[in-house]
Amino acid sequence: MTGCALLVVAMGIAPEVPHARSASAQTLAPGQGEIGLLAPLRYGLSDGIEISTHPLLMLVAPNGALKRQWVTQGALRLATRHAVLYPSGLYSVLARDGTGGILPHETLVPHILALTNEVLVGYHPDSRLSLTGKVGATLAVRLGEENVASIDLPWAYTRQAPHRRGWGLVAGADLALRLHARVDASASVDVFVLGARRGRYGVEHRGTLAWQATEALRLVLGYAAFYQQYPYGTELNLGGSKWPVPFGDVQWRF
Amino acid sequence: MSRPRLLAVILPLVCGCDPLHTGFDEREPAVMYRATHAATDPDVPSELAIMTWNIKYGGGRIRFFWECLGDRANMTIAEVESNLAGIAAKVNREQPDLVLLQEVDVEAKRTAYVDEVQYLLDHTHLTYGAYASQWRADYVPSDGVGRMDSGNAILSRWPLVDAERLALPLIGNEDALTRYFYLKRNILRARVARTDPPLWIVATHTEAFSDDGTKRKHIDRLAAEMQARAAAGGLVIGGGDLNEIPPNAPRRNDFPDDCTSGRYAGDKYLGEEDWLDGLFASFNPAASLDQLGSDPERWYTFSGDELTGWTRTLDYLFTTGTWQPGSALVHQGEDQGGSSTILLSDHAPLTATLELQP
Repeated sequence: MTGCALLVVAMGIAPEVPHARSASAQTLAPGQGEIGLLAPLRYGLSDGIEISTHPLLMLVAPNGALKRQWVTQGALRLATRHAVLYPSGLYSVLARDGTGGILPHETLVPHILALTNEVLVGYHPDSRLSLTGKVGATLAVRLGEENVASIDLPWAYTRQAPHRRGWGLVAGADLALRLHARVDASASVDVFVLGARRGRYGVEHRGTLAWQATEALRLVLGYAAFYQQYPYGTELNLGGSKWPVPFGDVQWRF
Repeated sequence: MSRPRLLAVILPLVCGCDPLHTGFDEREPAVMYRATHAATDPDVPSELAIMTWNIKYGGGRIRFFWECLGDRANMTIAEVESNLAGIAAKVNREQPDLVLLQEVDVEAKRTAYVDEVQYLLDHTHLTYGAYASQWRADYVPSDGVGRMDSGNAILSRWPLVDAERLALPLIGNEDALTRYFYLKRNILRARVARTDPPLWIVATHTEAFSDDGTKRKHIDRLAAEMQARAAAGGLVIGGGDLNEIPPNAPRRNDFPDDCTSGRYAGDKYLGEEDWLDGLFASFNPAASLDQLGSDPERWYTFSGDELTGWTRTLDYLFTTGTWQPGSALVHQGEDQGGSSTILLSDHAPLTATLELQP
């Protein structure tokens, strides 16, 4: 179960390919798909419409997202992204006795439906550069008895807060560059504003290097750094460590 | 190699020597505190009132998951502050000059991250504090524990100096992963400034759940540290929650508050009859062996079930000096101590008066 929790964290951190990245205002071409060990499954449904999901998470947290590109004007793009998540099963899995009990076993988990809506504004002058800004909000509806404690860990805290408090806001920027024919780099920063009495904001920064090993196969290495206000105070990464969290992924295009 | 051992080996290699900051040096400075209220330090009197109390991290009689029939893990801020208010009221009623505390949380999810040392300093007449953690982790991925920092503290009317945390031996037969995340007991040692002669406090909370003799090592280390401080000159007070019953206790197992449904089995002290002999032989106890033997129930300091009452003595005070005769008291309730304490913690406070000058 501890492995499950770590998997969830890794899935949230892992990035996607530049230019048609989930973080950008562009969508995958119709019929084009991508999936990673950790990154979500994404599919170009039609021109300007992309759908995605985390298949492994579906077992405990059914999820799905749709991105629609509304405006293409020269290098500018305007898109919106709409995601739905039912995390109750995941919280129930994490609430257990003994090792791997991220939440106390007596946790009362309500039915939670979280809806996230984002506006993405992108600048894509050519195939080598992608710059995207976003603003978004998560609204969560809860039904039933509840006493879910906060998970005071990097990444988890900001994603969970709207589920406990009902809402959360995010604003961010993403920069992707093609360094070489087969090598891309990216950097992103997200600022979260949370509906919590204590622990109200978080800032996350990610950086990646991706190598297109073959036409279909891509290898990604990266890091994620967190600056988070928790109920006990503000902390960098985990335990105040100056070292960000490393991650990697293997992704396929089809 | 078992999975826990494998994880305990891989985790430090991948993430650094102590990625979740659960470890301690053999010796390190204690964490120092001061009350936020301004106070003028009083003159040091000729007698000092001393208290030792395991406050169960302000948990009162909430049944936690590790207790009999318990299922709670975390408290709310309101619960913590309500329980601490009761503890502070008792301290204010008794007006001790020095307090040895065990099971004090300073930054733990289970106590809503309330700094209990600071709270007690800010809500009592005491001004200075020293703290030594015995259970610390950025995150404990078990039972919903999460972030943890809990340990021993000394509270004082006067400044505390030369305060150090001295590491005690770890349980020898725990698996590596448990050992990484679990308690690391300590001796908290500090000198009270402005006393003449110099006065050392040596406080501890020994191991409760070992079956390999670790607790005896802790008791012996307490005695050794007290002797070392005495040999260096000055007066020494030592004690705390020793998790050991007196040598002449009438019962060593099958206590009336034992429970088979809790996470831990009922306590047994068989084979430990002489573990406290060194302390009683080398130092002056607040409650003598004669007192403990002639009226043992009067000295009981622990109760696993408030409905059963106090069932055994686990808490002690010793000194190289002299206690005021008849001053020792276990505050068990209104008839003995003037106010009820059985709902404030699973331990009762023990007080005694130290004569600084003959």
